[in-house]
Amino acid sequence: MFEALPGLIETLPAYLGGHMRLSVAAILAALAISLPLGILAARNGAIASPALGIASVLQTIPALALLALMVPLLGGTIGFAPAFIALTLYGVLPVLRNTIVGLQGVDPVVREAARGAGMSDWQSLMRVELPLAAPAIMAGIRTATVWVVGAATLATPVGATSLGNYIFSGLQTRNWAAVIFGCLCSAGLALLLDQLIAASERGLQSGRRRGALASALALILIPGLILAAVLINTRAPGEGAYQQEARLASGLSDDPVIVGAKSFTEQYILAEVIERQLQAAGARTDRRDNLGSTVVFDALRSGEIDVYVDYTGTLWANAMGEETPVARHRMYAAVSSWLYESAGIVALGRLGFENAYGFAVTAEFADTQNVASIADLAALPSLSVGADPEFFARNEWERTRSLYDLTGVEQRSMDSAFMYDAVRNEAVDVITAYTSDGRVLAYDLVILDDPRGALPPYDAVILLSAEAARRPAVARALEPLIGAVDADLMREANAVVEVERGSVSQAATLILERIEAQ
Amino acid sequence: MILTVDQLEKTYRGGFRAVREVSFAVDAREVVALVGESGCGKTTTLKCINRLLEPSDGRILIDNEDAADLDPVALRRRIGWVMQGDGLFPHMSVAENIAVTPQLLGWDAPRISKRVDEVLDLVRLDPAQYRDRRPDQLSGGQRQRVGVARALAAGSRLVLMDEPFGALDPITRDGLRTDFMDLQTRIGFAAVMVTHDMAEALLMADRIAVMHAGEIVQYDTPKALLNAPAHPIVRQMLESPLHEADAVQALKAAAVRDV
Ligand SMILES: Nc1ncnc2c1ncn2[C@@H]1O[C@H](COP(=O)(O)OP(=O)(O)OP(=O)(O)O)[C@@H](O)[C@H]1O
Ligand SMILES: [Mg+2]
Repeated sequence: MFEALPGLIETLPAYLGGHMRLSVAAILAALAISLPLGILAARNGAIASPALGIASVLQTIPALALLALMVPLLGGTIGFAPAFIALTLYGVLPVLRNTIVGLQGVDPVVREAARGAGMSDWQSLMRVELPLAAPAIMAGIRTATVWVVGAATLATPVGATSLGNYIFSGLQTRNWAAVIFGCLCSAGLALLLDQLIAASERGLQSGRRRGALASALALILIPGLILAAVLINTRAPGEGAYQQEARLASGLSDDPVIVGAKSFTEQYILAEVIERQLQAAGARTDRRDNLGSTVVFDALRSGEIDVYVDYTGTLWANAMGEETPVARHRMYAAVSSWLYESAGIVALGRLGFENAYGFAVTAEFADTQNVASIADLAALPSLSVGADPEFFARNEWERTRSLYDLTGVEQRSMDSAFMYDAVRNEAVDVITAYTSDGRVLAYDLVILDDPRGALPPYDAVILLSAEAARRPAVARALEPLIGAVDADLMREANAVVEVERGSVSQAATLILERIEAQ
Repeated sequence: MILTVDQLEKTYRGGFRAVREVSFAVDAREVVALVGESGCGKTTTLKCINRLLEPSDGRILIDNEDAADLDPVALRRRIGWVMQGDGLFPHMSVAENIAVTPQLLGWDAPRISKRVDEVLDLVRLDPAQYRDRRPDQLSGGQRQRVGVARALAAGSRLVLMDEPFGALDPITRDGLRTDFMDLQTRIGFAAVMVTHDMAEALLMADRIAVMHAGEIVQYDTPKALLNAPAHPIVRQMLESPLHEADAVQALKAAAVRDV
C-alpha cells in the first residue's frame, strides 16, 4: 500500500485544494444564507416553518442526487458551480435550525430585561440574544462543516475536483490505497476545521480574545495557504516557442480541448488515449474525469467538455428515450443523426468495440448447468443475478425477463467493481458483465448468447461537442482511433488496470502502440 | 410631577382587562408603592409606564411629556427598571450588567467603571469581590441587589421597581430597605415600587396605591391609610401585618413569663 503513496501525494495539492475551495466557499455561502434567515425566522414564526421545512426536505435528498440534479438545473454546467450550489444548500439546514432553536431558547425574561434596559431590537439581538444562542449556532456551524466537507467528496461526478477523485477512481480501478487515502484526507480535513471552529468558540466564550483571534486567523490562513500552494502548483508550465508554433500550424487554437470521462476504468483509458492523441497533434488539453452518466452528456451538449466516448445503447435509451432497441448499425445511424439534429453533436465514429451488457457465468457453471444462452436460464430451479443498480432500473432488464420468462430471480445490486468477483466466488450465479471488461477474459467467464435480442448494442462512439466539431484539427487528430480498438484490444487494456494492477497510462500506451503498429 | 398616570387601561390580547382606569401621580423625590394581591395588575401597570407594554387607553406623562410621543427605546434609557425576579444577563459579568444602560447612553469607559463601583457600594456589594462574577455565581439576594444597582446606574430621576426585595431574608431585607431609603433621600430620585407586602409599603413609601382586580381602591399616605382605610380590601391588607406583630408580641410576653 505504501508504494502507492508518492503517486497519491503528487495529486494531493490539486485535489485537496479543489476540495478546500469548494467546501469553504459552500460553508461560507451557507452561513450567509442561514444566519440572516434564521434570525428573521426566529422572530417571525410565519417564516420559520416554511424555511425549516424546505431545508429539511433538501436534507433528505441524498447528497449525490442533489449534486447530480444541479447539472441539468444549471443547463448542463459542470464543475464548481453545481457542486457549490448543492453543497451550500446542504449546509443550510444545520445552521438554520440551530440558529432558530438557539434564539427561541433565549429566556423571554432576559429579552424583556434587554428591552427594559433601553436596548433597541438590534442591540438586544447583537448584545444579548445572539451571544446567548451562540453555543447552539456554533454547534450548527460545526455540523454543517463536517457534512459539507464530507459531501464534497461527491462533487467528483459533477466535474468538480475534490478528494472524491481518489475515492471514485480508486473504487473503479480497485486501487484501495487511493480510496483509503481519499477518505482519510477528507475525514482529516473535516476534523481539522471542526477543531479550529471549536477552538475559536472556546476562546470567545472564556473571553480570551487573543485565543479566539488566533484560531479565527488559522481558520482563514490554513485554507488560504493551501489554496496558494495549489495555485502555484497548477500554474501552467512555461510553454516553449516550438510547441506554440506546432499548435498554431496545426490549426488548434489556444483553447484547451476538454476531454470528459465517466467513472470507470475503460473511460479513463479512452480519455487518456484521446488526450494523448490530441497532445501529439499539438493541442492543449484538459480533463474532467468521473462525471456521472447523464452529467457527462449534458456537459457535452452545453460545451463544458469537448469530447468523450459514449455508447449507442446508452444514448438510445437515456438521451433519446427510446424503449425498443434496434440492430447495431441502425442504432448507430439513428443515434448519430439524432445527436446532430438535436444538439449539433457530432458522432465522429465508432471505436470498433461494444461495451454491452452480457449475461456472464463462470465456465464451470456453464458446463455443469449446461447453459449456453439466456434462454437456458429459465430451466434452472433458482437463479441469482448480480448487476449494478442502474441495470435493474433499465428497460432491458424488464425485456430480458419477459422475453426469456425469467421469473423468481433473486436480484442482487452491487457496484460493478465487485460483481466479477461475486460470480467467480459463486456469491451469485450470473452477472450482467460489461462485455469489454478485462475480467471476462481473466476470470474465464462465458457470455451467454442472446438469441432474442433482448440486450441492446452498446457501440463505443467518439462524440464531439458542437463547438469542438467546428475545429477540424480536433477531428483530424482523433480520426486514427476510429475502428482501431476492437473488443479484444479493449479487454486487454482494461485487464492491464483491473487484473494486472497496472496504471491507466500503461493501458493507454498499449492501445496507442497497437494502433501505431497497424 | 415627574410621573402622571391618567386613566390607564390595559386589556390583554384575548380580552382580559388587567388594568382599569388607574390614575396616580408621583412627585420628584417621592416613593410610591403599588400594593395588592397576586395578579391584581401591578406589574402590568409598571410595564405600561416604560412602554414595555402599550397601554390600551389613557395617558402616561413623564416630566409632563406624553410617553406615547416619545421614542420608547430612549424613554427606557431614561427610566431605571428593576424586574420582578432579577432579569440579569447570564452571559455578562456583574460589572457588564450594570454598565449596560450607561453604555447605551454613550458614557465613556472611565466614567462607567467609576459608576459601577459606586452603585455596587450603594447596594453593599464589595466591587473588588463582585465586579467580575457572573450572575450564576451569586446568591439570589445578591442577584437582586445587582438588579437594583443596574437600575440606578444611569442616574435616572425615575426608577420603577417590581418587588425589588422579594427574595431576601428579613435581616438583609431590613438592611437593604434602610440603605435604599438613605440612598433615595441622598440622590433624590423618584420611585414606583411594586410589593405585596403592606408592611414594606407602609415603612418605605410616601404614598401607597392599593390595587385590587385591576383598579386602585385607595391612593393615600401611609398615615391616612392607617387612619381611614377606604375599602374592605385595604382594611384586610392592613390587618395582616398588625396581626402578625400582635401575635409575635404575645408570644414574646408568654416566653418571658415562662422564664
Ligand atoms: N400577556 C398576558 N396575557 C394575558 N393576561 C395576562 C398577561 N400578563 C398578565 N396577565 C394577567 O393580568 C393580570 C395581572 O397580571 P400582573 O402581572 O400585572 O399581576 P401582578 O399584580 O404583578 O401579580 P404578582 O404579584 O403575582 O406579580 C393577571 O391576572 C395575569 O393573569
Ligand atoms: Mg408582578
